Amino acid sequence: MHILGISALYHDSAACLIEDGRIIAAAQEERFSRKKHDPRWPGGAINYCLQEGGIQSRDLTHVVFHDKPRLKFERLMKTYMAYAPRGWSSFAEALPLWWGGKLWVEDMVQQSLDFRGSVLYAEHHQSHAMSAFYPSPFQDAAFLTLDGVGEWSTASYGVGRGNDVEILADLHFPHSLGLLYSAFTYYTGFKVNSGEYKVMGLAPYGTPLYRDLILEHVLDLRDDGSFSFDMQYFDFAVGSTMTSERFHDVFGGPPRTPESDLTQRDMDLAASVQSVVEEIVLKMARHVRGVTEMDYLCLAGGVALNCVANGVLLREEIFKDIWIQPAAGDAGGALGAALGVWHQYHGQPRKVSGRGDSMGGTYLGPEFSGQEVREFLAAGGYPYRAVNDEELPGEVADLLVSEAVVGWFQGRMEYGPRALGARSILGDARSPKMQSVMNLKIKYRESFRPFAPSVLEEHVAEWFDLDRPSPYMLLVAPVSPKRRVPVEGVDRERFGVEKLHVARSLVPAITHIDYSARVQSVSEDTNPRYYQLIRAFEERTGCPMVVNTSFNVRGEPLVCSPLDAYRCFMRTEMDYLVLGNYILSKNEQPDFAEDGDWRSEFELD
Amino acid sequence: MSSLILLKMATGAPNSSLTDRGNRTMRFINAILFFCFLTPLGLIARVFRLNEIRLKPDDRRSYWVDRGTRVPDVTQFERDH
Repeated sequence: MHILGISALYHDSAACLIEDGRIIAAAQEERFSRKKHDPRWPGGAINYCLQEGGIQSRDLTHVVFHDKPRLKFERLMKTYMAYAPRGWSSFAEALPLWWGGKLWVEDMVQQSLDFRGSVLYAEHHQSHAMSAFYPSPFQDAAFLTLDGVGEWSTASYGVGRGNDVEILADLHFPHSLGLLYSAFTYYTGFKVNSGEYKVMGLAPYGTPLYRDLILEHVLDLRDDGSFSFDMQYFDFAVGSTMTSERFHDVFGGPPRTPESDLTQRDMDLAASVQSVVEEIVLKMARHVRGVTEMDYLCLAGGVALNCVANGVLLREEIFKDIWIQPAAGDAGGALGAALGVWHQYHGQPRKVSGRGDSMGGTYLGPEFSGQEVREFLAAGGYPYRAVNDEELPGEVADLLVSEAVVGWFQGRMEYGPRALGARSILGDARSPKMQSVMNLKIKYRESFRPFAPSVLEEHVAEWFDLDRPSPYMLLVAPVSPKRRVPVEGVDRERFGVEKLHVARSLVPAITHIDYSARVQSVSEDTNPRYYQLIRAFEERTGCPMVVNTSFNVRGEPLVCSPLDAYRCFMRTEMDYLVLGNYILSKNEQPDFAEDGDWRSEFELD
Repeated sequence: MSSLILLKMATGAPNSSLTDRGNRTMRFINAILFFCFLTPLGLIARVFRLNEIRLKPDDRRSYWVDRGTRVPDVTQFERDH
């Protein structure tokens, strides 16, 4: 039985195909359309999934959508009713979108897929919950889902047992942890639904001076983690901005202009909202533990991508272990909905392997064969050097040791927002200059943001205060004290983003100013080629990790095809590109002429 | 929901030019809907506290909305509500 899951029409559209409960393929539409967080109907992702499954749309048993549009429409209408006559311009903007498509998902399925079979719907947070529990390594577990908003729910918790997922309680719109974070994302001058992780990266530079103001004015927090906004401070319900004038009055001024210089105040605001989010997540987790009496917790929803909060939650040991869906945002809803139809709608049993989760390292996207890569290189006349499987790890490790920046394009593309060694840019984590080089010459992004390490799974505990794998880069952990370097003299006096230029550990490129790192553990089981590369790097240097950042420039989706990778390689100051077994040196490439300025191709995030 | 279906049939949505954002007829229908329907209904709902959307904190012990224990209803997948 083939089930196609679709999430679309808000942000991060995606598709997922499962066959008899096994995940065959999953991908976000942005990777095909080259528009970041693309909300449109995921035609490219759907075509890829069907192709990967070797089927046509008529072979599908069900198509399932990740939320219930008419329930969402009802919420929208009731929201306008709560504010009317305010909200007319927002209403006039929104209604044609709903009337022209969002309400008629079944028509879209029929038209785009020529599919006349069964179209099903799961609730938005039910999809998140199912994406968190079903692929998890736990037989039974509690779950907690946190995001902006689905239909009515903004957060939910419940229990997964065997093949059943039951939601016990939820929070309702407009009271939303995701929207709180987005409000501060907007207020600190970043893009909503995109720049939230920048706020998280900015937080360690600040002090949570505004924490009490948030808790006194903006929201009312209960001991069980539930909360209510005072909506006088927000404008997102029917307005065109996230925050209201009253919010600006309380926090001392208007929102920061995007791309303007960051001030200490922006950093303090980021630290404050991060602190509040962590407090709420911990309170919720304790409540869920008490109500469900479960030992394990699964997380999903956009807020579950807040790896700093995840790390705090893990270290609090409220649960024995936690598992976070790597595609925790809306893209993951496609997967959750599809698995839900298999396990809940059809009552099919769920088997836990005992050897980890069933996401396969989340390498669920397109792969390009050696022949396809060769044909691409030959067609473009791009010079390359071919190496065999045994030579490749050592060859690339040598490049990294020489402080070269390497584009690494291997195997199936990642599903979810993180690059995990299939579409990554790699560097030497020991290099003091690597962070600046990668930020300013490769990624063309803000210099305050640190990079993440990919570390051999068996060495994680030696380098970080983390006693378990973190395969999806969704846990932040402190660098082990024995690997830290004391900061002395004038370096102690540095201010703001200057602090990032001080080496704080033996691996400065991945160490944030608070000595934290966003860890990805790499195992031989899920990504043997990447594992062998890092192993070869360790043999040469004694350091079992490399810098891993997503293979893209700022505002660009992760590269999908060899062409995307080659373009990104030539547009940046990357030194080498490794496409499968083929190594390309920048010095040997022909001139790469493009019409116009490629930077205008991608909207800044 | 049946009114939505009727409106869909009447307007030919989603493939009708009526649904284009700039369409004058659509804007007129939207204005009627908003000012003659939603606004009065919203005001009445506010006076009689019928709208389930809460805009301020209140004195309840918890803001979690209990769904209660239930036997999973698989037919929920068949409904777009």
